[in-house]
Amino acid sequence: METIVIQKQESHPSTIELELRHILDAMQGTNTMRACLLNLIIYTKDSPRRSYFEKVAQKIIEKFPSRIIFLSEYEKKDGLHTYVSVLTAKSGDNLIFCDLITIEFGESFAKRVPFIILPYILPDLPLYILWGEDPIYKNPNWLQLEKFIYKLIFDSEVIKQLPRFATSMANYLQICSYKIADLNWARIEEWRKLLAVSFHTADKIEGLQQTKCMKITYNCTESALFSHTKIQALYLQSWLASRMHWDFQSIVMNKKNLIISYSNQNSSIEVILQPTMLTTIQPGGIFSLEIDTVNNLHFLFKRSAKNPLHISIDFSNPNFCEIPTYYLFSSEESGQSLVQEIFHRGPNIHFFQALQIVKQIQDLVCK
Amino acid sequence: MIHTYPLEEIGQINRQLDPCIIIIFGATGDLTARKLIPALYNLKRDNQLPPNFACIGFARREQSEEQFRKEQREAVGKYSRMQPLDESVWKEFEKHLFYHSSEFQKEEGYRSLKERLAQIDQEHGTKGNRIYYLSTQPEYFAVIIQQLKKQNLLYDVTTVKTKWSRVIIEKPFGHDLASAKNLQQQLLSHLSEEQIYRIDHYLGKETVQNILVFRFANSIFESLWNHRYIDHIQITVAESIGIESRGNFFEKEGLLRDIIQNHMMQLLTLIAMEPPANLHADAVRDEKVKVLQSIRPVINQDLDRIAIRGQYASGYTFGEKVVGYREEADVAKDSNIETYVALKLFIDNWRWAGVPFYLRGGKRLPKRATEIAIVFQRPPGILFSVQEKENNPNILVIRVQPNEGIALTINSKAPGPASPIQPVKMDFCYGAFFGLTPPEAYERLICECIFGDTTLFAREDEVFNSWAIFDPLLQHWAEKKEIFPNYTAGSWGPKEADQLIEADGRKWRLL
Repeated sequence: METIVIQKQESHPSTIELELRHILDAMQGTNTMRACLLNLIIYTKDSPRRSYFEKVAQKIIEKFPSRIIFLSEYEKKDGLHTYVSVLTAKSGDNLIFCDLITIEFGESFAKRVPFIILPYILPDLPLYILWGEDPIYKNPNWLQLEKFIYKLIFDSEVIKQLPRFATSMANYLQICSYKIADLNWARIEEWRKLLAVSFHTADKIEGLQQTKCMKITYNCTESALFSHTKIQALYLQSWLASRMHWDFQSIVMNKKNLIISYSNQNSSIEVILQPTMLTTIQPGGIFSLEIDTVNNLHFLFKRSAKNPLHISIDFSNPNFCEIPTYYLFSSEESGQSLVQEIFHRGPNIHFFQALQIVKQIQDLVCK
Repeated sequence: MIHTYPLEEIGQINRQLDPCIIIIFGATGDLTARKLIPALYNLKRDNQLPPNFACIGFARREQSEEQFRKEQREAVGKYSRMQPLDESVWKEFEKHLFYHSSEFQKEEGYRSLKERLAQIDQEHGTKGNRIYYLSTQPEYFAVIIQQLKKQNLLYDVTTVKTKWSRVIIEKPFGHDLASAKNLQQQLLSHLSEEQIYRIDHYLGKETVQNILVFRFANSIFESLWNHRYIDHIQITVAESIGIESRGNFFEKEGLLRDIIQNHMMQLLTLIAMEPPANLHADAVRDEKVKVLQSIRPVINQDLDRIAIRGQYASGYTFGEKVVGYREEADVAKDSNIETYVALKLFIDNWRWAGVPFYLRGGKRLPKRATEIAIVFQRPPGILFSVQEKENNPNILVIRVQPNEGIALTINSKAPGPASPIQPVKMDFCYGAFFGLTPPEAYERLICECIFGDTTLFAREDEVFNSWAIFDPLLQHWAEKKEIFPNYTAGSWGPKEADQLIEADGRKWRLL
C-alpha cells in the first residue's frame, strides 16, 4: 500500500469545495475513485508531532477513506493559509483518493478556524477529531463544532498537567455529549485483548481475582513524541483493577518503581510499575506483565526480545508448569492503534472506569 | 385517451411560445441585474425565446438606453450561469432591449410607455402580447397595475382573445394575511386571477420540480412516504451571505416573510402533498393547498415552544470577519427583526399524523445550502445494537442547491471481523449524471409565463393559507422584544433552535 499527496494548492476558504472539484475533474478518466466514509479533523500545533500525525492520516485513509481536515497552529507565525489536495491510497489496480483540506494558521487566527471548517464537514457521516493537543484546553469557538462530534481522540502524551489529567478527563467525559478516546488507551488495546483471551474461563478469572502481586514493566525511554511513558502501564493496571473491582488504597514510589496498593475483599494486592530502558518497543510500551496469586498461581506475559510482537504466555503453579504458548500482536506502526480506535464503536465504559481508578491515584499523588 | 393535437406525437413536448414584450418594473434593481436579464440572455442563447421578442426596462432613474444596455451587459458577464459572455448572442439580444424612465405613480410615464410598446410591436412583430414583471417594492404593485389598466395596457380576458397580458408579481405577496387579501382585491379590480403569476423562484428550480417526479415516478419511495416509516422531516434554507444591500427591505420583512412563508412552504407542500389527479396547474395546486390547510394551527401559548427566531452578531464567514445585522447599512441599531427562524410544524392528515416537520432558515449561516432531509425511523436494534444504543436512521436528502442531487444514507458493515456498523451514502448528483448546467429558475418561470402555464406559480389560496399559518406568529413577534443578537455569524444559529429539536430527542442535520 502506498499513499501519496497530490496537487496541493492554496485556496481561499470560500472556494475549497470548488478547488476540490477541479482536482476531481482533472482526475476524471484515470483509474481513480473518490471515497469518503467519515470526516476526520486533525489538530496539532507546530511540533514534531505534526509529521507523526501526517503519517497517522495516511494510515487512516488506507483503511477508512475520509475527508481529512488537517489543522496546524503555529505559535511563532501569523496569518492563515488554506490548501486543498487529495490523498491517494494505492492498493493493487485501485487508486482511491480522499479530500485533504489543510489549514495553517497563527495564534491570532485560531478563533476563525472553526468557522472555516464548519461548511466543509460532510453531512450524515461521522465526525472524528484527533486532537493532538491538551483536550482540556478550550477555545470557545470550538463549541461551534462540538455538537457535531462523534468521537474525540486525544493523545495523553501531550497533556501538560499530567497529575491532573485523569480528573479533568473524567469530569469532561461526564459532561460531553460525544465519545472520547485516548491514543494511549488505544495503544494498550492488544494487551487488553491478550488478557481478555487468556482469562476467558471462570477458573482463570477466579485465579486472577486472587492476585497478590502484579508487576508491569514498561519502556521508559523517552523521545521527542513520548515523554509520559508510564501512562500505558498505569492504564493497563487501572483497567484490570476496575474490571476486577479492586479498591484503590495507596501509592508509593520505591526507587524508580511505582507501587500501587489495592484491597480485594479480605486480601491486599500490590501492583508494581517497573520502568526499563528498551529500544525494541515504542516509548511507554509495555514489555511484560507478571501476576502471582495467593494460591501460588503464576502468570507471565512477556514480549520476545527478538520479535516484540510475539508474546509468550507462561502459566505455572507449584505442581505443574504449562508449555508456553504464544500470542501475536498486530503491527504497532504509527496510526495502527488509531485505526483500531476508530473501529471501536462501543460506549467506552472500560475506559471511563479505568480513568476513575487513575483519577483516584492522581488525587492521592496531588494531595 | 384521445390525443387532441393530431400532428403532435405523444410524449413529445412541442410548445410554441407567442411573440411578446416583457416590461420589467424596477429595472435598475438588483433582481433585474442578477437574475432577470441573465435569464433572458440565456434563454436567447439557448434559442428558447420567441423570435419576436423584446424587453423594456422601466425604472425611475433617468438614463439612456445605451447606459442601461451597458449596465446589463456587465451584469450578464458577472451573473450569467453561462460564462464567458457570448458577444454575438449579446449583440443580437441587446437589439431587443430597451429602457423607459418614469416614476411609478406618474400617468405620463405609462402614456409614453403605451406609445413605445406600440412602436416596438410594429418593429419587432410582438403582436400586442405583454408580460409585466413587477420587480419593485410591494407598495408599488397596486399603483402600477392601476396605471397600466388606465392606459388599456391590461386586456380583459373575457373580451380580448387575440392577444394577452400577464403580470408577474415578485414576492412578498402582501405583508400578512390582511394585506395579501387587500392586494389581491386591488389586483382583481383590474385583472383576472388567470393573468396573475405570483413568482416563487424555488418552483422554477429543477430539483424542486423533480420532487414530484421522484415521489410519484418511483414506487419504492412513495410506499414509505408516511408516518409509519418517516420519523421526521427537516427543511433547511441556509445562506452564508448577510442581507447585503437590502437593509430597508429586511427591516420591513424579516426572514420569515422573506423565505419561510413562501419558499419553504412550497418545499413543504411538494414533499407532503398527495398525488394530484393530473399535472395540470389546478390539480397540482389543489393538492398543495390541502397540505397548507392541514397544517396544525399554531396557538398563542405554543408559539415560543415551536418557533425560534434569531439575529446574527458579528462573526466569520469562510474565515472573513463580517459585521452583525445591526451594523449593516439601513438597519436600526436596536432592530428586533429576525435573520434566522426555526420552526416545528405538524400536518394533521392521515399520511403525516405525528410526524414533525422542522424548518429552519437563516442568513449568515456557515454555507449556502437548501436541502430537504427525510429522516426515516430507526430500525429495531435487535441484531446490531450491542455496541451502539441504536443504529443510525436512513436519511434521504434532496439537495435543492447547490450541488443539486439526492443522497441516501444507509448502514453498512465496515470491512473486517469486528463488524462495526458504519453509515455510508449513495449519492446522485445532477451535474455528474446529466452533465448539464441546469437552467436558472427564472429562465424556466419566464418561459412558463410566456407559455401561459401557471403550474409553477403560487395561486391566491396558496398564498392566503400560508399567511394564515404565520399570522399569529408574526403578531406575537411584533409585540415581543427579543434579546438580539443571539447567534454568531458563521455558526448554525442560536442555541434555542438546537433546544427546539433536541427537546424531541432529535438533532438538526449538519449540512
